[in-house]
Amino acid sequence: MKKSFRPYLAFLLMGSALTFSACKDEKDPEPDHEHDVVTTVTLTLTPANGGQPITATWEDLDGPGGKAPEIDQLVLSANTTYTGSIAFASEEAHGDHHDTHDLTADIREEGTAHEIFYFANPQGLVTFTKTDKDANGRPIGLETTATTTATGTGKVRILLKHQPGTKSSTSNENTGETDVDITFDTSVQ
Amino acid sequence: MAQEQVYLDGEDPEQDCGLTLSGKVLDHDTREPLIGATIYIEELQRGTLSDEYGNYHFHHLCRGSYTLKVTYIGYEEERQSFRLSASTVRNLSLHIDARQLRQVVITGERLQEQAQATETLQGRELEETRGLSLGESLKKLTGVSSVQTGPTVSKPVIHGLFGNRVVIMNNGVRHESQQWGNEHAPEIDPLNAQQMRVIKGAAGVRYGSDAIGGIVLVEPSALPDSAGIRGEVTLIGSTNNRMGTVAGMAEGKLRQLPLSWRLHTSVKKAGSAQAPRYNLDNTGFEEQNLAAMLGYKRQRFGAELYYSYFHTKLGFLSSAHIGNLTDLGNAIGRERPEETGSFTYSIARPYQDVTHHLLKAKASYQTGELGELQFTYGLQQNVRQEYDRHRNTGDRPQLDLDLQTHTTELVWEHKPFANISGSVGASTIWQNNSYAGGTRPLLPYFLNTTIGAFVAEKWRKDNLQLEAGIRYDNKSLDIKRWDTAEGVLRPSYTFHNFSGSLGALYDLGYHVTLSANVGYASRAPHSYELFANGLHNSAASFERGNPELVSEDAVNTMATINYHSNLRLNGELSLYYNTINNYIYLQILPDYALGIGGAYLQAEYMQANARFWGADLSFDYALTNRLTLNNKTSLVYAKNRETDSYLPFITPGRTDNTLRYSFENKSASRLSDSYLALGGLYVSRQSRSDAQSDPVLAAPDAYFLLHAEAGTNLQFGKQQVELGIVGSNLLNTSYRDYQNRLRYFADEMGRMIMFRIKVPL
Repeated sequence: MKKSFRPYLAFLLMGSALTFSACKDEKDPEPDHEHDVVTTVTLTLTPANGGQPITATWEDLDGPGGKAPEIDQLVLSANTTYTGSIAFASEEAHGDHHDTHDLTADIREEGTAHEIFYFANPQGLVTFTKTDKDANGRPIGLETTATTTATGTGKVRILLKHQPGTKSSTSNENTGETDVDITFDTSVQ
Repeated sequence: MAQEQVYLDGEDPEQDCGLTLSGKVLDHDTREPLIGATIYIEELQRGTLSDEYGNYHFHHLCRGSYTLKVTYIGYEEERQSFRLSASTVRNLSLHIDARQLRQVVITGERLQEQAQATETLQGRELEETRGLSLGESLKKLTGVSSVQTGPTVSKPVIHGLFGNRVVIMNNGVRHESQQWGNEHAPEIDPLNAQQMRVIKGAAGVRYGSDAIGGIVLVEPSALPDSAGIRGEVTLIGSTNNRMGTVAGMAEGKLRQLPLSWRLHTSVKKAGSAQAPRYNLDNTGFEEQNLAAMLGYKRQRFGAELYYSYFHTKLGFLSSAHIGNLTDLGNAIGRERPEETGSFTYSIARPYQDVTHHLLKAKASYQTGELGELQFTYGLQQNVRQEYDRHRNTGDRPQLDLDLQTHTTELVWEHKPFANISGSVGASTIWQNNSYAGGTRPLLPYFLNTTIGAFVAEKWRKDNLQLEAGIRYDNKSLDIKRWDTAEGVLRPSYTFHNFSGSLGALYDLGYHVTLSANVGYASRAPHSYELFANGLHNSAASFERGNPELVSEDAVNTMATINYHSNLRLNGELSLYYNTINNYIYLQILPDYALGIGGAYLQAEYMQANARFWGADLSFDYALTNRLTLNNKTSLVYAKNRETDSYLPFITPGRTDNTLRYSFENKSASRLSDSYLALGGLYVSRQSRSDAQSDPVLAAPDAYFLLHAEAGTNLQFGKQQVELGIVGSNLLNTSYRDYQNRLRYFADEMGRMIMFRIKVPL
């Protein structure tokens, strides 16, 4: 009986050898990230009557949890009207590797499914008015006018909502899926 | 049990040959005499018939040992051996042959083969599930439920355990896919299966030590063994999601060569499902399957080649794809999903696109009188692409995983010697996982190499069967993951996992079988449990693995009593108690994770000692020869033994009761094997849940669903056609199921009527 087992043993080893040699995969994961997740939001406010543009950036490269996001303070002048624009990007940076995917154009293109909402606390600290429109004539919010009056400190909260099929005359900041929900500490001087 | 031994000992030299053997032949249950039964003495080759009172007699018999064989149409053959030393009266009672008694074929094993509780879905019951997914089909079995993600994704749950804890054997090959995901349904075409068997409880010995919850065996029918070609076409359609399925099968055997073959294909397409009050937006799906099988069989050598292709694209309920916790709160607060849309066959983002290839090669060789040696090689590739509802991302998926698996198995099944039969074997798994660049690194790259060996033996004598088995698996796991701070990290693990089982099966008289089984299985943590890292869009939770996890191990004790071969009542009750140490589970943490999208729940894999226990009951009661009541009830309880708290996601108690009427077959009629059934499924509220086990939303209410089935065989001249109708949720009840992950967002499907036509060609 022992003798007759030898060929079978060879059989098994053959199969296993086939298994181990057939698919050597030496590929390594690349320093890469998901290209569709927003990591960086940049708000640019340019004074309407000339002057240096003000930018504030909210950045969280490693996603929720992990390292705390880097958040700029938004410092504005009182009694000023600004032309605002906001940019969304998916970025990665470590060592000498740097990779940026701008998502702003995609959002504009899919304007009928997106809306950006701006809220100031206390109310009236800064007032944002959306100036761009989607194909259906609904506001998008990538382009704005921001107006300040009195001095004060508070917060500006910005929401990017994805509202495919639900953006309408009655949709609001509670409609759809939240892609971005960030807050800038704001000071009007 | 019938005895087969024949005594030929001690022939007395002083023969007394004037003895008489007489008695009555009776029905075992009714004690009524059976007229015209054949009674035959094998040693003497003498026979007689029972008279109009059931009496029989043999005269002029010598002293000695004899074997009596009693046969009667509609009854099981009875053999009795005895020693005749004086004139004797022996009454012979016969048991009704259960297979002949009923028009309806009994499903489930009537004679148990192993001590561990098993359930089989086959025959008519399997036919009634045609058109449903694998997970939904298996719910027909007692003790099996499913974890769902909306109406399209269903994963089998055995005694409260699922995912990596349930090993699925697809045509003899371990199905290897991304089983860790609750929203990843098994990539198997149930239409190609002739039988689905579930082994309940820890069963690591035969197919791998990770089978803590049990095993699902999906088996296609055997290749034809007589020459010629035959085929079959099945058409299935349903209301509600307006699903249409076409399945075709052709098989044959060559005349000149011992070569047989089969081709099976099926195509499914369904639109969005309908809850009673609204459309479940974007829940359509499509599926394409192909299977080809080639078999070669000579006297001692057999070989089989099998290839199957599975592809599905299935939509996800659009309103379940949410951003942060505020969105989740808004969704829960809504009466109905935000987007209901209207019925459509088109599938938009979010959706999954999954392809699974399986190539199997098997060879078997008869090792003389001793048994059979089998070698099986399996190659599988599983490509899972998940398309989120993101911006304009073109055709790119956000999750794109590629899993390749090679399995080998060598088993020697030996025939009984000294009442011992069993098998010895060794197996290997080689598995490589990677993901495409620019997609979510939810699961790291990994290479898993597992080598295992096992022995499982049975000893059987008379009424008793004893079983024992042991297995050892050595698993090495090499992970490659990208870390923003440190570059490529290569953690690696080695796990040693033992499994064992001890069982006993005892036939207590003719109608009762008692069995008990203790199974031990030990499962190494999966790469996902160790290194998950990513957002789950339908749970607003950020899931993280735990690299410190160790193997979890389970000791499962089960006792079963099976009452069978009776005229009216037949059934089975099993009780189980499963202790799992280092049970791995996903715990929602008290702190939120803050990200650019706002606040998310954080969940991390943890370990605790847990306990699962429960009972499965199933029985048939024949009210009349035509009307049968069938009951299937299962209860599962679970607890975290360390904190004495409830575990999330455990199956609530469920009971399904069905009345089935089988029509008489009339020779003049075109119809045969017709039946009509009406039943109700009651699923209780999971009362063993609280704010700790379900922090997001409390368990939904209990529900009751009415269902009905009907079927017949229609004869058109020489052509036979099988017809069937299955109706589910007939009262169009709005309800939510505790084990559906999308219960936060929407109701379950409403009424659905499914029609089925099978035409053998």
